[in-house]
Amino acid sequence: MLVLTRKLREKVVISTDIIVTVLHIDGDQVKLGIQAPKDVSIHRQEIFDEIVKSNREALLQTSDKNGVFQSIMDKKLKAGGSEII
Amino acid sequence: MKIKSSIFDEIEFDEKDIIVLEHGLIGLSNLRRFVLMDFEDETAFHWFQSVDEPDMGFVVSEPTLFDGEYTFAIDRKIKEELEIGTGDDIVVMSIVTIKDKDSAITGNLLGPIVVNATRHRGAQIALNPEDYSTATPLRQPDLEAISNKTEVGCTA
Repeated sequence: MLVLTRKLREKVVISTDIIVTVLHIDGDQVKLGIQAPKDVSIHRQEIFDEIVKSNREALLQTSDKNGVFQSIMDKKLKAGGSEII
Repeated sequence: MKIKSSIFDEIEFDEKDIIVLEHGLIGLSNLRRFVLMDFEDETAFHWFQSVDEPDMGFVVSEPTLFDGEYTFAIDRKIKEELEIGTGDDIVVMSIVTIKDKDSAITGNLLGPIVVNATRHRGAQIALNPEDYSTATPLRQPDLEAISNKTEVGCTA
């Protein structure tokens, strides 16, 4: 991991078109401004954690199936996915 | 190609139907190859079977079951990763979670799976949490009704 020390209002440039600016520091909170092309996705780590959790939950239910889920899983599979692909 | 699965015994599919997620699912990067299967007599839900881990798979559906107005932009990096070209057939799926306690069915609209069906390449992407959630309830709670997809389409 590259570690850089920056002061208030100093910037980091990633590639040529992504600029991260330290906007505000207040105790253990740092406010960052990120300038990037519109089609570059930027997320807080928590968003990924939430999706990881949801993925795991969806996986878990296959080993602990009952109720409505069971009624779906009781159906036989057929090759295809033709409905949506 | 056939794989042995603890959930559905034996699953048979055509190797050319394998969808490759270069980076796997978010947090499950070992799951990179999938096939999309249908359930018999069931049009609202599908089964996204892992080829790498035969005992793993996900119930998936079209996001419109949960949100009729679901829209998002696909960023440049993903367009490149999925080799999206003009006229390619793009499919969006939501992973479905069914809580057994109250049988609540929810869809993950925050982290949809985007598939370029033409190139058989896919990716799970993260959207804006201010717009979507990982546990969006069905638009119509009656499971009987969603077995007929066309009915659901008319309820918006």
